[in-house]
Amino acid sequence: MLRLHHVDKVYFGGTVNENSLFRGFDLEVERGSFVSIVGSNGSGKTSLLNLICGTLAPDAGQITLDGQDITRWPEYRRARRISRVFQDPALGSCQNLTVFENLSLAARRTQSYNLRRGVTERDRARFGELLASLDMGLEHRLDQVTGTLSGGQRQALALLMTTMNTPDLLILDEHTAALDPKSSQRIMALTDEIIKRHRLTTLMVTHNLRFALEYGDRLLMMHEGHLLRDDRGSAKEALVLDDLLDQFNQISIEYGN
Amino acid sequence: MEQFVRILIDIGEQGLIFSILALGLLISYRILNTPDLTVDGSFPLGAAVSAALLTRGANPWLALGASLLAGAVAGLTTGLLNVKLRITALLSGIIVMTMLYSLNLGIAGTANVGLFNSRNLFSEAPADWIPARLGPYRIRTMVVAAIIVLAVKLLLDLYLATRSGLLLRATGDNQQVTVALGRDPGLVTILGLTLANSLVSLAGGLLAQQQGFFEISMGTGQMVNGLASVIIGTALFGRIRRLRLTTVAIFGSIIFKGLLTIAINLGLSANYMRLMQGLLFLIILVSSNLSDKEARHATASSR
Repeated sequence: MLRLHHVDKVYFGGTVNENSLFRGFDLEVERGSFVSIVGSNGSGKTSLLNLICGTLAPDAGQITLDGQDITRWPEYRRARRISRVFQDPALGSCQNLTVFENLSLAARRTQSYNLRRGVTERDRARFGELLASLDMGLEHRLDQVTGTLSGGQRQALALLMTTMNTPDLLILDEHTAALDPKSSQRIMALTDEIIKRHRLTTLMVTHNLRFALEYGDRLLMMHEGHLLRDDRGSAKEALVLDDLLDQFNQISIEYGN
Repeated sequence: MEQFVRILIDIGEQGLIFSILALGLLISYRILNTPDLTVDGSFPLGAAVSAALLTRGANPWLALGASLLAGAVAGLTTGLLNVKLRITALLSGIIVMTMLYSLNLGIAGTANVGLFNSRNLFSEAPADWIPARLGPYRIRTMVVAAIIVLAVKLLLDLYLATRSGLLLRATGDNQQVTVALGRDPGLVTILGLTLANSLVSLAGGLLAQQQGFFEISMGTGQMVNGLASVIIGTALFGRIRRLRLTTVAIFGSIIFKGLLTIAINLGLSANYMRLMQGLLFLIILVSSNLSDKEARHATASSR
């Protein structure tokens, strides 16, 4: 479904600080799979997501989605098919717009932003139901601006906004890392629920090894732009936290992270 | 008493005409969050276009429409420089403003154009349908100005409530959301700047028709004027949730003109007008920053 083929990415190319992060990087993700990605700082997890979403352009190689070459597509064009939830809950919605207005915007993603009414009262009941299903108390805050919501509520809203039109690919960029432990658990459970309901193909970068083990059907461990582990199906099921921790500590000690 | 009424009419008439300028800045500064200096050039552009057409005997309404279109082209140019050539919004505005100075001179012909013998919006229908017993000419100009302002305000309200208007507000708030919606934030910015400068230029055209002349330096300080109006309106009325942003900007414009008119009538020399505008703007800016901080503090502690 998603395919990265021989992707190269060099930072500071041509200078003494030249650092080639990816060299001939290959990755294939099948439709409907839920891939967790772990790795130390600087391992290339976030760069990988940026390459897929179009925030970063590769120096060489090809990125395809369902066989279609999207390597040169700008970020906004890819966003019609690829949705992303960021670590910072503030990035997912407009803080000066109400929850209702934010949801109305998200609901029109697959239509056009023309001169028809931006917000219609007909949507109120439907949005209320969607928000109630999040169980974060948001259904009573439809007319509140999102800047006044808590981080967890804002992230739940972002999750709803990115998935309400069923994207082809969902990208989760450490989306629970900025939340307190309880909200983090709640958002993760909610994410899993939504992914299962819509059978979304998902890539999730996380620092939480427990989440990486518990959720998803494939686990990648990255280091210096390489895949150190790639476990799927039953091999992934058999993984235990200690194995991962040991390997993690090893790279961390070796590279002083 | 008579002087008092005259001052009130001055404030009302000037405040109303300049509130269209404020509505323009509401779009670029408040909604799109972009400092757009094109304003100091697109305001006199509107005046120059109206002046050039009126001296040739054109229909005043047509002249006003041409002013609006000219402003749209100016805003479009700034937007294209900013988005397509990746020049900062501030510099794009300065470049277009600078070029407009020459263009304005070219359009108007000279640095000063009197329009006292030409037709204008206030000399004919529908202004002369207003019965003379309602008051002198000045009252009629105020009524006509109020009708135009109201029409512009209502149209802008309608637009901001559309899907396109909502996307414009989203882009000023958080460009990442626009990207996530699969839309190019650059295009939305260009659209916003075009719309903003159309209104600014419309205000310039209307002022030229009302005061009866075009003057090349009439753009100086107009960005400050418009910004001050928007900020003063937001500071005083922004918390009243039932008031729309457009209403708030119009109120702000009338109050700002009120303060300036009072200063002039207290004996301030007209030479110091721009100094006064700048200082007043500074005071408004600093005090609204302070009250913002207080407000943020209050919401933070109430959580």
